[in-house]
Amino acid sequence: MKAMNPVLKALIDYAVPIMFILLVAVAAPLSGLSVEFLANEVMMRLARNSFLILSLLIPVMAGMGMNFGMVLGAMAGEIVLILITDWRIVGIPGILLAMLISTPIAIVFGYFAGVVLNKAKGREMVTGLMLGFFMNGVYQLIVLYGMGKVIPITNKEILLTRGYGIRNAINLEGIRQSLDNLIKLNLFGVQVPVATLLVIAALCLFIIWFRRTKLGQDMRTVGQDMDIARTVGIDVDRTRVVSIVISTVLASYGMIIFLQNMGTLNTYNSHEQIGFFCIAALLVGGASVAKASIPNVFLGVILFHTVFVVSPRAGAQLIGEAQLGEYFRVFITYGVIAFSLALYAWRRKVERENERKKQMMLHRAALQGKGGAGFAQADR
Amino acid sequence: MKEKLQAVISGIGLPRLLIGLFLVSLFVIAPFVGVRVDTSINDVIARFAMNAVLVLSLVPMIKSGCGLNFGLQLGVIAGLIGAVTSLELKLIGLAGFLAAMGIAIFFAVIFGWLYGILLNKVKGDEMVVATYVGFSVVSLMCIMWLVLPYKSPDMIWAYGGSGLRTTISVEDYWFHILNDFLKIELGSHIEIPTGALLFFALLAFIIWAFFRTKLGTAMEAVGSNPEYARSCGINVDRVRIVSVIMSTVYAAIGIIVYQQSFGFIQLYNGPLLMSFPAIAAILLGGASVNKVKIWNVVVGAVLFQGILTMTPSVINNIIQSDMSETIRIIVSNGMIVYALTRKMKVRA
Amino acid sequence: MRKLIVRSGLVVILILLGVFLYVIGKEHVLLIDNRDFTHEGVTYQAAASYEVWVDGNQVGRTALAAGRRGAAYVAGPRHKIVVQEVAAGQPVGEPIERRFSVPTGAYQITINIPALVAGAESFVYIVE
Repeated sequence: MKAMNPVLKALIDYAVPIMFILLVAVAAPLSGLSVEFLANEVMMRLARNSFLILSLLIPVMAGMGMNFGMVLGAMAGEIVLILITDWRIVGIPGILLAMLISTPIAIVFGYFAGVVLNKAKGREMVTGLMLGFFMNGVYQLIVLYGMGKVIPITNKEILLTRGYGIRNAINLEGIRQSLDNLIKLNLFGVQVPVATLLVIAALCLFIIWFRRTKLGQDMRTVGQDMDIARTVGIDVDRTRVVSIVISTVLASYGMIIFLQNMGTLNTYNSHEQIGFFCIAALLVGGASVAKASIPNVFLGVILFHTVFVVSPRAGAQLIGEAQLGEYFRVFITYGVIAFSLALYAWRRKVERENERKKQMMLHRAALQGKGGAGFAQADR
Repeated sequence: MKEKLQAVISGIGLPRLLIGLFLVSLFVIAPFVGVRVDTSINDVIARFAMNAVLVLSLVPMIKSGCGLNFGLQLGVIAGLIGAVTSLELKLIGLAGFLAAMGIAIFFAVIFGWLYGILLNKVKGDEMVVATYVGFSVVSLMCIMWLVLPYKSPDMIWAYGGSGLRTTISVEDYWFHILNDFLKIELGSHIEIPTGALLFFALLAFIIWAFFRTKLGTAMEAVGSNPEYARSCGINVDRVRIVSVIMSTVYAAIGIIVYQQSFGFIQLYNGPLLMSFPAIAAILLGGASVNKVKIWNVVVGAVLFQGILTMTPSVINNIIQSDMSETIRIIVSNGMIVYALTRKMKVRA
Repeated sequence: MRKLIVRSGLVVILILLGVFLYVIGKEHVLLIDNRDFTHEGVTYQAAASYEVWVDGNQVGRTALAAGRRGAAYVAGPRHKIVVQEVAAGQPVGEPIERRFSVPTGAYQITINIPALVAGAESFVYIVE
């Protein structure tokens, strides 16, 4: 079993971020956007998305892979924001209340997702993906049909003309930029939403602390090897469910932060893409299905969103069609995920085959040893 | 008596039984809420004929152990290229249809081969990689549809002058060419698209016959126990690639059958989510991630299209509003989630 | 058992927090009327123009003339209103300052200036 050349290994491990850095280096100047504009855009997107992406870290720790089910948390956040807007609660109290109410809803969604994912061990990511689609249907049931009929809505502005069901886009005027504007600095021409960044920093600290708790350690054990965890006495199923619940709750908060920055809620579309974009960003930052840490989040969000901002214009310059830039940007998102997942799956396969070969060699050596020395080496 | 009943239930599978009963009950309720039973039957048959080949395309990959083909879009795109090129060459009628299929199969073989090589490299995680490869290729093709030098005025944007439209009609070319072949009309509301059904039967027969050949049995062996197959001297990787090519080719044929019935070619993001209904259908028919029989395809497609047709129309009439899209999302994806949570049969 | 009590206590605290946030975050529209107002048999006439400030922010960019209505958006139950009579652009007399409460359940509240200036108790009311 050969050891891989360390330089080659590093290149493969970080293939995706390297590709993206090259992409940025090429496309950014091509787009003709000023550095100040880019810096502002990226800062805004960093503040907007980081919380959501951070919510993905804990399931990776527990061996659940990329939590495509974070969409469920996002939906919980959206439902609550619709209610807050209907009740006309504004400003910071509005955001805090939204987070407060979304917590139990997200816990229920997360628990459901966790139980389902436990039944699909080995296929968590596909199941999470399909679960997200399924819950989208349930969400529509609640928001497009339930609200106004079963759930009382008094604010007529957000209802569809037929009397029930929420409109396609809701103005979140009341909480627009409430967190962002709380403490705002202007550094070298770049708007910095300090309060939001402080909240993100708090989450980072929480994650770092969490890793050291018993629950966190349990999760890492489960993530590394479920059988070993079981023999040590950890309730594997429960730990996995808890990891998804935490992730879902964090995702709901993250969605609330995201939406307060956007100022508008695209009732039926916001959450669909959020899953893909966040996972893509995390993968771009160098994370893999088995390993994801905080630096991956920030590197990823900066690289991914820079490409995001830059590609429509770059596409227009290059080929003459701005629409191409749009498609290019979507292609990059999916392509990155596909490439990262394929890379990871390939490496896992190689590792499994190496493990198998090693076992066979040990077995063979044991058989030979048995003939020679008279007792067999037990192999696992 | 009770044991026999239980045996029958587990033979059919509880979910299937429930959905079957649900479908029957919908048909029973239908007349009472103003939905015509005969038009409904017509719709179900028509939609079955439209979608069956796409569902059939999943069979080779399941048998060979590659899992559910979440990358069905690759075959669909090969089919789209075939259809669009056939229109560009201004071929109509049977010639157009056959040309579309021929070109589609050509591209499907190439795509399937590359796709098969990729899947071999990611054994064990095929499904999730396939999903995103499928999405990426659809997005890439969005760029291509705009850029490729197609000129036929029926297909390009009227004002832009270049780039294909999102939806292209096949009305004047080979619309309903299969459906109308030997069409049978029962009464004024039921039209059986015999041609399409015969075509499906032919394709299904080809698959059935294939799995009785040496290569076919080898494929099944690879699917149920790769180690044993390898020790028998079967080149596992090569057989898997063949199965992927077969699935992709069938998917390409399937989308053309779909288009001749539907009447339109849908480009850009049309194919994006096409793998999911097909997968839901075959799972509903009793297949699992690694086990499938031809009748799963038939039963599944009928049940799935039945639910998709009946539930919206009946429920819409009952509660006086249009819930079809939402119901479709819940049923279709719910089925897939359910199937994914089933324990995989232990490989011998 | 003790765990149950602690957990229930936490839940109660969170619910109270929720109610608190709801009350202080609830948005209200204050309609500031400089119009004639009749209440309990007494009629207050709108006579002069006033500049109005609610919670430190001026309502409208100019003074509110007699017969006009202005609007202010506020959140929470307790607020301060300052009214300054102006004539021909110059302030007349001293500004009048009043504090008032808004019931949380109401969205639209009307404040009547002449009543306020006259020192009436009930210058804040809700129109159904």
